[in-house]
Amino acid sequence: MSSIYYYLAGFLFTLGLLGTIYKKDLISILLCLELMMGGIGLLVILFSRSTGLLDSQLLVFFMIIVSACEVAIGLSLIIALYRKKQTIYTDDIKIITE
Amino acid sequence: MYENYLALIPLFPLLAFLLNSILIKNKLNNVQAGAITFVSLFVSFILVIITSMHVYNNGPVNVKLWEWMTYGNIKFNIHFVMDELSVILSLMVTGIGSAIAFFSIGYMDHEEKVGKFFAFFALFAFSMLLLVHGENFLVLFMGWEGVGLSSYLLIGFWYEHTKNGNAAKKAFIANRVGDFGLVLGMIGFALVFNTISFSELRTPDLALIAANKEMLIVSSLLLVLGAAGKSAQVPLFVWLPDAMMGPTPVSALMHAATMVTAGIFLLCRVSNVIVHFPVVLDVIAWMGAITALLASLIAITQTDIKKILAYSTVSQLGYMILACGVGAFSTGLFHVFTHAFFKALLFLCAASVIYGCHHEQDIFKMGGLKKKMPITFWTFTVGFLAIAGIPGFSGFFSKDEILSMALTNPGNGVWLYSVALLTALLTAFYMMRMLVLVFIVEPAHHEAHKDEKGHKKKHDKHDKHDDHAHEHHEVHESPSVMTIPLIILAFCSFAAGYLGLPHIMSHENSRQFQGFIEKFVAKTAGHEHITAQNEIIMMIVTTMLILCSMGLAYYIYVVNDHNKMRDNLKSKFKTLWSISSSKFKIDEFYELVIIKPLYEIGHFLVDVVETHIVNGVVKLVTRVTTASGSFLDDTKPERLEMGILYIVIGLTIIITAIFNAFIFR
Amino acid sequence: MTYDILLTILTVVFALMVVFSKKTVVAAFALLMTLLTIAMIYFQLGTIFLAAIQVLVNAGAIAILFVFVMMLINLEQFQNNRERSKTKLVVTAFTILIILGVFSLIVNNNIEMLSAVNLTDNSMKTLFEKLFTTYYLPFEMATVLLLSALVACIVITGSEKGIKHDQENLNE
Repeated sequence: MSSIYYYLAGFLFTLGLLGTIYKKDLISILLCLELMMGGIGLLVILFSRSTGLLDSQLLVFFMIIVSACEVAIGLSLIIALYRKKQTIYTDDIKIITE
Repeated sequence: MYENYLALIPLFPLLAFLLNSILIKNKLNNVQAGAITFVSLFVSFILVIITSMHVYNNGPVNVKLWEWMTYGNIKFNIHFVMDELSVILSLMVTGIGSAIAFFSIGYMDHEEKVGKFFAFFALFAFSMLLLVHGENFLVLFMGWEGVGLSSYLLIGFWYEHTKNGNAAKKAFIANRVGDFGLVLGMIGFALVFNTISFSELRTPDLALIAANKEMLIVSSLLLVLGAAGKSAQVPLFVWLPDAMMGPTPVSALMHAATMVTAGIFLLCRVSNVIVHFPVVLDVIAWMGAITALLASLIAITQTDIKKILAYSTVSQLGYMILACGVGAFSTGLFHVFTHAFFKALLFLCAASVIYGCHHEQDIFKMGGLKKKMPITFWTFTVGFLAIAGIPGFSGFFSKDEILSMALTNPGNGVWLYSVALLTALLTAFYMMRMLVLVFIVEPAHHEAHKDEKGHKKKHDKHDKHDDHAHEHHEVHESPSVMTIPLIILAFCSFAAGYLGLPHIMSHENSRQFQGFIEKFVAKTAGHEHITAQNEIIMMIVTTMLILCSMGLAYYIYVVNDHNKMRDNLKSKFKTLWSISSSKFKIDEFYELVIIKPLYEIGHFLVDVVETHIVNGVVKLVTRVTTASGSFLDDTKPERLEMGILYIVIGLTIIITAIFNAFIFR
Repeated sequence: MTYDILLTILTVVFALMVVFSKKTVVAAFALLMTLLTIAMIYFQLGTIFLAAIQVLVNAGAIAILFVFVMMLINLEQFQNNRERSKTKLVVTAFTILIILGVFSLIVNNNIEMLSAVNLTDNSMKTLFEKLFTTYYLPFEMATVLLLSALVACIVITGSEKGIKHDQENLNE
């Protein structure tokens, strides 16, 4: 019955997606991104298990590394943005639409 | 061994070209640069002599340098050959070329950029040798284009004056029209005979000729167009008089002796094929005849010394083409041979005169040079007697043979003969006119000035000023570096005729030249035989008429107070004179019919098509792109998160579609 | 069997806490717990290597990094949080539901294939063999990537000038 994990993975992914759209401050958005990554990783592991290929596990390995880098850079961007604009809410930041 | 010599023959001028080009920055003076070119041409000349003696005894020499590609059965190789035809032209090119190179050392001594001149000279020699020694159409074409290029470069040598550049452009464009014919004719021949090699076209397959008559006739006519472009025949002769804007040695070499004979050379190369088509031969004959007559009519009234010689060249080329057109290819080539010597001689004498008169070119301003430039005068006289066709000189033998061949041509022989005879008389007339006006008669200003000097002794300064203006320092004989080639060429133009004596004069040694050539070109056939008596009568009559014509010129220009008679005649025949001196308005005609419409089309394309249509299309593209961009810009979500949502929705739809397509296939 | 359901419920609870909590720090900690439970799931599925990596990297570094940054940007001032309008929530949730439905449609069609369990015993050995032979290049590139991310963070967060300026602001 470990096929329930599929639903879990899907749920985590969609919940993370909901969070990225729903949340207003940038850090929460990043948090939900991480949640999405967790769901994806779980899915890939499940696929690895079902097909017997070990390569998918290495894929998850690299995905975790990449997500670590991405979070690091994203957080430093948030800090830089905070220094400039003194806010972390996406409503107040209208750089692109200017 | 002879193959090596043959391969080296075009190489030495190429080396001279490269050496002169590399050393341009060293600013060589005329002696050094000229010596490079002269030595290379002279070495090639010696090699040519050695190889031709071998060819005379043993037959053609071949050397295949490089196999480039094969198209079906047609092999495109770089293949040199020295057969009987190439022997003659190669001797001419290298021999006369080295003489003129030697002459130019003296002529160009006041010029700058001599290194460039001699480099282009060597390039011309190289291309001409390629043309002559080409065993197939490919190498001939390479040489053909090369001489066209060198001609352009050398005519426009003093390109600072726009007129010279325009003349060079005109030469190149007229040549190009001919090249169009040449290439298409080449392709036609290649398609029919499955080969482009001249050795194979020497003995063409008669069945193929009979089977592909129309195609071969069209191809031959296109080749005739090519020959007309290079050899300045009727539709395309307009470039040769303008080509006189270049330095005179260039005119001597190219536009007298070698380059313009390339057209006739081409016709001789394919002679074995085109003799089977009387239509083509008729076209060639009439083209030559009309050109000869037209050019002599124009030459009667020209005042520039070089222009007279240019039109004379066009006229003589018409003779050669006429000979080819009546099937007497070897006779035409004999006239090429003799004409090269005396025309080069005449041009070099003109160069010597121009040099001596400090670059004055109007014959009415020259005069009385007989005493001041004796060597030039006597060599010019030899050349003049040769071109007029006085017995004993080379021009007589070749011209006489052309006249008899023209007369005996089946069908229209009588008309061709009369045109040719008239041209011969006109030639004698205008050449005598030139001789008299340049050398014998004292110039008008000089005589009037003498009168003035007698009456107005008071105004010394005024006299001196006029003196300076009219005399241009002192007219002097040219240095020996220039007169030695004149003497050599004079001797050749006297002696060259004896290679082709007609039967009646000597039975053993007659027609040596023609016999040698006819080992390659088509034999002169189909002409009725003239009895020895008739031939002698013809010769005597022709000579008498020529002497009368010369006498008439002498009478008009010398005996009477020279310009009065001329002015009388001029006013009597005013319209004819103006038609003749304005070159039959052919240049204006071409300008009106061809050049102006092209310009109009060009302007139309630029002003209307380019600005409106082409730019309109480009602007349309940019407008569509920016409009769609701004449209999408309005639909962009303001909030970041809605953008993400839209992305996700779109991606889902796409991935679902793909997934379902894969699963539910 | 029960472990499956238990772990699933735990993960779902923590995930919901991440998304729907009002305080951001709570969300960060909930994320930490989520990642840990996911690691437990990995452990249960037999991929022990990845479970360890998940704990070390994901939970142990990333989530902690979030907490550090929250400290850096002085998050308390933002805690009287603005919320989205309810309609937006409903629309978004609806969209998400549709996506979820599509996903489960796909999964349901292939559930038999996906339920197989076959995992060899010495999976670690083969895993590392693969890592260091076939996937050696991505391995090295991951190293370079980490290095470049490090440099990028330092560059983005500014030089000494920026830091001094920030501290001066705080002092004022």
